[in-house]
Amino acid sequence: MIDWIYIVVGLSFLLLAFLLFKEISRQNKSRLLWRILATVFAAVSFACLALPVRYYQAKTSDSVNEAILLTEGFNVDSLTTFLRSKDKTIPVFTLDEKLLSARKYSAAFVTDPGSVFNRDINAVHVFGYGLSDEELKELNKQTLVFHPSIVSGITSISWQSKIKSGDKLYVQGSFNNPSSSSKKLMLTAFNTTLHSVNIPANKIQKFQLTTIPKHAGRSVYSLSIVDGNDTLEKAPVPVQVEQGSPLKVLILASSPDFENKFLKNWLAQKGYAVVVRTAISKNKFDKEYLNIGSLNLDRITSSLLDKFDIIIADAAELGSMGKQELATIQSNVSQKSKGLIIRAESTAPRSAFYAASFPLTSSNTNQQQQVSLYLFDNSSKLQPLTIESPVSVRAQDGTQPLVADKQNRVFVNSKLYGSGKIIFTTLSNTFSWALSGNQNDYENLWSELLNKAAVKKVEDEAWSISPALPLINEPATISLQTNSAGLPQAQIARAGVHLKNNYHLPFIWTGTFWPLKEGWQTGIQLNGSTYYWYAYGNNDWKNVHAFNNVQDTKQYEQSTVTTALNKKMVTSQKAEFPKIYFFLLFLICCGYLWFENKYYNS
Amino acid sequence: MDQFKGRHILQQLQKKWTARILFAHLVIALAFTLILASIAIKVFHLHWLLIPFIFAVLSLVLFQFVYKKISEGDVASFLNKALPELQESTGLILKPYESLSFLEKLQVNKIEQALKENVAQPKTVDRNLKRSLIFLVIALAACVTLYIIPVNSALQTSKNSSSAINAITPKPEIKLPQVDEVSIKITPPFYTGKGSRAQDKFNIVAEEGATLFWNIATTIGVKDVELIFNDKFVLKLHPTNKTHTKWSATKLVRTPGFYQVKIATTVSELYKIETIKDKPPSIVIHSPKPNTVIEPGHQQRTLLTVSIADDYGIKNTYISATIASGSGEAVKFKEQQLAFSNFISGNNKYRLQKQIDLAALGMKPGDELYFYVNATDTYNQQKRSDIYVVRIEDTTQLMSMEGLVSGVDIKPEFFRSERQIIIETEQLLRDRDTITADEFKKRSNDLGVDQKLLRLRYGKFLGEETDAEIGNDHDHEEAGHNDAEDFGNAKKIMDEVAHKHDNAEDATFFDAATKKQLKATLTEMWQAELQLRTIKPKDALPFEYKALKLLKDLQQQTRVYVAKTGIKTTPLKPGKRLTGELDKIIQPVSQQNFQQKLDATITLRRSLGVLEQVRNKEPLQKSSVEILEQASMQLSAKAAAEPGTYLSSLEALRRILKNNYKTKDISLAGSGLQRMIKTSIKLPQQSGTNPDMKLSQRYFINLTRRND
Repeated sequence: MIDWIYIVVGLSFLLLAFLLFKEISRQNKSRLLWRILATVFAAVSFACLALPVRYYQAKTSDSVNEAILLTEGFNVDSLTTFLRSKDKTIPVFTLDEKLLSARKYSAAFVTDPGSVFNRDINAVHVFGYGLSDEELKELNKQTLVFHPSIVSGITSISWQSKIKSGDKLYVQGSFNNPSSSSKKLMLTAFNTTLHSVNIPANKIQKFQLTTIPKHAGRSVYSLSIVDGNDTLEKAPVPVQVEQGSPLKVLILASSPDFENKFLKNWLAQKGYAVVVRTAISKNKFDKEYLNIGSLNLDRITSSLLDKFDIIIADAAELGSMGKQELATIQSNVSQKSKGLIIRAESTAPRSAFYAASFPLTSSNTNQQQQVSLYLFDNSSKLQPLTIESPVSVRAQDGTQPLVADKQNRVFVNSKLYGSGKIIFTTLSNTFSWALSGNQNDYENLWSELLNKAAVKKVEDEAWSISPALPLINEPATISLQTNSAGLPQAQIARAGVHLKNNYHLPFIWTGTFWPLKEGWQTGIQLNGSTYYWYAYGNNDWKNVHAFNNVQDTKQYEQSTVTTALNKKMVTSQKAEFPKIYFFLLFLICCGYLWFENKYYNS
Repeated sequence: MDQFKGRHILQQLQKKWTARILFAHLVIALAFTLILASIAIKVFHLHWLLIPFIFAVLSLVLFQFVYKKISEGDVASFLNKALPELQESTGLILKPYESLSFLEKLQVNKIEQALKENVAQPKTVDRNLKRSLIFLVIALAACVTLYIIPVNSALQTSKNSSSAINAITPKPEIKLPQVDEVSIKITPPFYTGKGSRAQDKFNIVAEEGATLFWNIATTIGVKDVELIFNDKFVLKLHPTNKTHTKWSATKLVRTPGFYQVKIATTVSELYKIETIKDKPPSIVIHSPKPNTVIEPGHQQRTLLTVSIADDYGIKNTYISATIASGSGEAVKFKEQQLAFSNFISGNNKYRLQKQIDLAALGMKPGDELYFYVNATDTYNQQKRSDIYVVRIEDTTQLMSMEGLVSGVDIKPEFFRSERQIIIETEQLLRDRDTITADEFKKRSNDLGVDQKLLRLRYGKFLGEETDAEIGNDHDHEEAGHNDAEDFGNAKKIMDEVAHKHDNAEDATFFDAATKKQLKATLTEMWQAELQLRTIKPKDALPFEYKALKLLKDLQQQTRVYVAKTGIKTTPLKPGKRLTGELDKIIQPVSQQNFQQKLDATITLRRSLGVLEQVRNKEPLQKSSVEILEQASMQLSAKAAAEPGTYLSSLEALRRILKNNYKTKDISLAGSGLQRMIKTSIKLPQQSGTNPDMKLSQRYFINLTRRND
């Protein structure tokens, strides 16, 4: 366009120069000024014929040209009252051909919302659940007035699509129940109800359903809304259960005790590599290698620690260790992101590098106490544990408590230490759970501690899909994070997806895929293994999408300049100057020049 | 007379029509009642007693608002219109005969003749009657249809469909095509007292230990027929006729399981055998309480009330009673069995009573009786109740001065102790028959006074005042003699005017718990005194005992135990510790590789994942099929134990393995597998993070460098 302007302007100047030269060089110099003026105007108007001449028009239109756009879920009553309040007829459009109730208003079907604005319409009233994010992008900041409908049912939902085996699945969301009867939400798998909650009538309520998935691999649970005996809605909840990789644990003990023995046996029986070094005398150690080859344990070196993920040590052992060894452990935790679990029963010496973060409080009574512990993370309660004169940790800034009791005395605390983690526990007889047959609580506690201590392993590649609930026949963004160089290509089933590199973060690649088939989608990783994601049908989680649309449209409405439509609407618009005036001017100038030449130049 | 006759006819007509119209109304009311009642009962499930109520209300409404009374005048005017022979003069009949003129009298005579001849019923009455009868017929028909068509069938089906999601609905069993007829005779074991029964279905529910007798008729003669139990045991049926179309076999059933019918080479679907276990008897003891103490002064007997129930019958029951007497090392036990006197064996339910006379069992104060009820059912299963304890309170212990007397400087007391009061009360009761009534009253009253004094004495510990002082001004003792030295002694002046009954020493002498118990003692003493003063020494005894017991407890509490002091050891020299030579000590090294025990449920867990692949119609790999097969084996073992719960899942899984399944089979198989997984294993696992070309690591390094 810009090029065209330059060309036209350039050519016009050439033309003007030529014409001026001709006029000035004429022998008869009479009426020269008039002729020059006419020439200039003729050339300018000729140029303007070719160029689009626009100006800004402050349009104070009394008549706001309104239109109505019906989207899904619009309320017939509010539309009727709206139409009645307007004295003139307003054109009605709809984006959804299948919207049956829109036929009553003889709504014209348009393919995209932008096309409504092209019809000399400057205000669109949107009724219903509004427009999706994609559709709003096409509007180019045009004004719209949103008349949202209330979304009932599940308006938002979230769950972990991938969990580790043995972990709890949490399905959380909010439910709007405007009806006068209470509804029941049920999480089911293979015809078995796993958990259910009641939503009372006339209430917007947040809900949480939990279960420990029993399957390994993929499975689709379902969340159904039940009113009495009728199932109103059923939506899929795809869940993948993965087996994490086992950890390698090094246990350093100053004396043999039952706590370490039970921990060691439990981990070893589950196939974990465990090395235990127990001091039996000065510089004499009892060494045990379980599921691992023998290593030199006499000195703690950096190369030894490299072979482990987690170090479990008691405070006494850390205290009696050589300074160099302690420094090795310390630097390995902070630099090489190892997990360190410290078991202590009394206050550590001030000099210890961890002492400041974990000050202890011992209870005054030297009695046995029944302590009811619970895990902070998932607030699961454990059986009461009998502890002789319990010692608790005073929580400091920058620490995260993991286990506490009913009186909120912290027994296990954790802290980030460099790139690693330190976990400090004062519990020394958790084995009594295992002894009394309560293996569940024992495993629960130690899994929690070891999981928290273990530092996450950096994977070679990671694939993710957005949006969270990808629909069939809608674009889904596939993104890949990889360390490897080279041009990766994504593959979903047999279709290849071309990936675009992120401009700022070179390890992120994104591409778009349109799923066609409802259900699991198989992606093939760069290393050849498969990953799975789920494409939802158009009727799944309908209300969640509707609620999102309402939110998006509301936000859009607020972001655009909204003038109250009842007042006069003042909009500055670009308008094109009519070409006919330039043509007339051109004709007059040329006519004058011709006429002057014909009659007075002779 | 004639006039009377005419009028009589009119009145009769009036009565007749009124009755008919009333009847018509009642019929309509009945019709409406029928419709309303059937709707109310069928749809809203209301009680049928509502019917007369609805009827009464409807009849009242009709009578009040719809029904119009027919007067004689109405009848007359109707007759005038209906019968031209009456010449519009029926009204004359109604007038008194005497007041009529001659002509009128003639006319009256004329019409009466006509009246006698044709008395037609008005059409409206007829129509009313007809209409109401038709209405009744329609109502009856409506009622019948309402009862035939289940009104809430829609509701019920929806109920069924929704429950179908969660429960495995039993489906009709499929017989092999060769099987023409089947008859299974189930003979329950003799002790149940049940007769044998026959059924024409393969799925069996039988009592444990029942004998099953199969009679299978085939459509054509076949070579052999077999029953395969739990995929393992094969029972061959033997032919009972020559054409080999009738086969039979018999088997004793002890455990539940499933079986298949195999004819030639075709195998039927799985049929289940469920067994009804004989439950052990249930025993509920209603009285006495689990721990009963018989206080002194009460009757030494206890009433045992027990109800016993069993599914087939009780054979025998008895009470096992153990008496423990003596204390310390000299405890002696004596065991004996007591029978219920009104027990007749063989019934299903009993409510038995037994009066246990403790004295007759030879129990003395201080002894304890432990007993339980034992019941044996007809299957010889025994069940015993919890052990109940009845104890007779020992008063001699309370009376003994042991431990109190020694070491205590006994001074003559001017008031009687609680123990003394009890002894004297008992003596008084013994003497009752030999002394006069006045004497009895006097002594009882005296004892009451003694009790009061004792109460006041203990009351002092609580800071109470003597009751003589209550309400009165304090009779403060003159504070010694007034000395000149005391002039200006503020304390002394204070003493004289102040009210000093809350002596600090008294008030803080006991802790709260002791005070509470002391208060309870005083309450008992109050009660005892009340009974003694009202000349009921017998009723006073329990309170006196209680008070004594509480006092004893108090005395025991005040004793303090002082532990021995520890021995002194020579102090350690830390410098010399662990300085021995250790070079000959070998460091123990052990190495062990655990065979990783596979979690028993891991196959089941994986098979659930494989089922998802089946649902998604993905091609199955060989390993996935193997997992399903292993899961099927586990499920089969489980189905043999509990066919009612797992058999349908097993069938569904087998259909999936044969690749001949419907979509609902996946859920069915999955529900069984899911139910088998009971435990949830929790193991520490390493999780991963997304790769970022070490961006975060570089960030961390730069951050630490900045901080340094």
